[in-house]
Amino acid sequence: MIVPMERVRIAGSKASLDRSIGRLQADGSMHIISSGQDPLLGEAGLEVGVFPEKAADNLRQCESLLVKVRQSLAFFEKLAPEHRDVLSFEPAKHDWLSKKFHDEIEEITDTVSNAAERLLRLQDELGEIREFRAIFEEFQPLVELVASLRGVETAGIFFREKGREADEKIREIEQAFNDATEGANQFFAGKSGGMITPCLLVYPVSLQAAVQEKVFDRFTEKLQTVKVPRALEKKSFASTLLQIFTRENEVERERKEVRGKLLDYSVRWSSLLRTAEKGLEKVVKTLQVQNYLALSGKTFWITGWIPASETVSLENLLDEEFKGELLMFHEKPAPEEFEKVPVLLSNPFWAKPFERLLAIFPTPVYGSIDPTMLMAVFFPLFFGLMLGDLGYALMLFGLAYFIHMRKPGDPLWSDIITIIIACGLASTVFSLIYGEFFGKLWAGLGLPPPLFHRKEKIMVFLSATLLVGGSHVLLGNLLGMWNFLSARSFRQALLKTCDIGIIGSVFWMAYSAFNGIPLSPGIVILFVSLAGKLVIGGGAELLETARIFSNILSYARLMAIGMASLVFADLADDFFLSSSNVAVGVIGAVGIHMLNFVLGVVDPAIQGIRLHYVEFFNQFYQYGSFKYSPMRETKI
Amino acid sequence: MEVTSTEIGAALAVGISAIATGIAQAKIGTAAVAAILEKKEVTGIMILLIAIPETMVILGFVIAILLIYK
Repeated sequence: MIVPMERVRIAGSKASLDRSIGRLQADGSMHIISSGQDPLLGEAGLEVGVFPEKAADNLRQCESLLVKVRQSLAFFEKLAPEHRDVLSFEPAKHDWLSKKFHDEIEEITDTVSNAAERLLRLQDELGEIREFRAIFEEFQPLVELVASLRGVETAGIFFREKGREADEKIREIEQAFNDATEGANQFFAGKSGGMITPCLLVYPVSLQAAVQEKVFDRFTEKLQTVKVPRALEKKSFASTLLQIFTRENEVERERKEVRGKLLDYSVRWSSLLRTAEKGLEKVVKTLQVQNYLALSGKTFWITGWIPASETVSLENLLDEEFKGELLMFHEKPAPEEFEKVPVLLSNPFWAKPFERLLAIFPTPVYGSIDPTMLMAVFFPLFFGLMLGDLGYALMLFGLAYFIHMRKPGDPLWSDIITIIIACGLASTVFSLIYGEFFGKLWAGLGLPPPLFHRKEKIMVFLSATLLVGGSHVLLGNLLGMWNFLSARSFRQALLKTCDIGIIGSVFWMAYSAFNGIPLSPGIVILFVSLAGKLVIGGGAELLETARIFSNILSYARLMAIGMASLVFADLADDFFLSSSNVAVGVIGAVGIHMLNFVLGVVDPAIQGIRLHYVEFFNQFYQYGSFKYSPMRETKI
Repeated sequence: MEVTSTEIGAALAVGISAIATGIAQAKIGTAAVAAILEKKEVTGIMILLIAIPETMVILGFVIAILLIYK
């Protein structure tokens, strides 16, 4: 259900502005909007959305400091997550806007940021050195020799290929190198270790231009030159290599030192920064509200939305606290502004977890229908209809218990557990109807014969799923009609009525085919409905009729997915029964059942949601609002 | 074993629609992965979008069943 909301306007003297914002933040029920969006305040000649200069400065400073604090915390988290909240810190003792606080925090974040930057640079350098060394380590004695010679240049190249491909490339490059230097060179090809084949080219410095032109420029696409670490870029290749071989230890030592320093900072400051983050978040939120105000010479106005049930308590609270200094006005939203009203959903405990499934869809428009409760009924129903196996249902309960043990008290996982249990219960009920326990083991356990064997009565099962689909789409159309009637869109409501007539007539005709009742009323309803669609909506609307049938046919997936799951389960049982080796049979059967369980849980879940989002919601769901998000104090 | 034309028809109904579904899912899947990489919050809706073309193979399966059990 979508909670009824009321627009609230609060007016008072500027002297009580900060106190008023603080009180509203503490109360936490008001979704504040910009005064410019309030038709009354926007046209009242007040200054709307004018940010007081001091508040703007404070906001800029706090936002910038908040970014720095978050960067430092992110770094601490990455470096040593175990050092969270080591020291206690008294938030109340700090004035979040004071210069002293800002200077203190800024100094800390700068120190952390400098050290973090240094660590990253060292890590990069170490990575490059190691890659370099890995490629050219085997040439080390040669490089030492070449480095002592004058007038000789060296170049390192490597190929990502190995074996025959690398050999071909080496021959090609060696030939070009010989041509460029007229044989005055030494070419060393290394062993291809892993995916890399290194080569070392030694030639006179005087031939550098020719080598560049005839080897490197010509084979740009084919060869990869070695990327020299930035710190050593300007030196000759041979001396670079030599330095690299000696610098590794140095960099590693320095890296450990800087890391140690950062760990120390993390222990000393993570708690302080975490508290500062929360404090700054609170200040930023409070300051941002100032941008939403409407101001006159001496007064301010705040406007927003609160649940209608909380209006009186907020009014009493403000009266009590401000003794008449603040005025509060409230009114119900007009239908034409429903799209601008924030939406808060409120559902009973058994349906509440299903709001999670709705969350990935856009928020419903205020005043329209919240389908959460319907999803809470139909989603498990569809799931059970597809899975319908007692063994898998028991595994679902086991899964729910496992999650409960691993994630106790986590709201998201609690909701998931509720959904799993609902689906498990529906699967249990259907398993009793189908008579399935890990496929055909039901009969082996001597349980009573099934009420309905879906594998043997496949056409009846298909018809039943289409009947369920038709009913679901019919319900969607009824809700759609209700939506249009509520919004006084009578033309759309009539079109929905025609759709309902078409579905009803198809039901009638299908029923008459089996029970001998007269067919004619169904035909009459069908033609009247089609004619109605043509007259009211035109030819395009008439063509849309096909969509109703495709929507209903889509529910055949309830049968198809269920049959696939059943055939898989039977396959596992047959594998066990036909296996001559008991151990192999058991392992194979368990493996197939496990696979089937995973598929049997994932697929019905996705298809169940899809049937709601595509086939059901299309008939009535109106979206376009946004979620109710009240201004609340952050608890530190 | 003798294979009737009805059975071949049923096999084609499932087979061709399965290929079509595969092609559609491959394209949607590629785009979905790119979208998820850019914005992780769209994961749920992307999984659903990938499931949309399955209607084709399911309808193919229904046709096959109608052919075999008619």
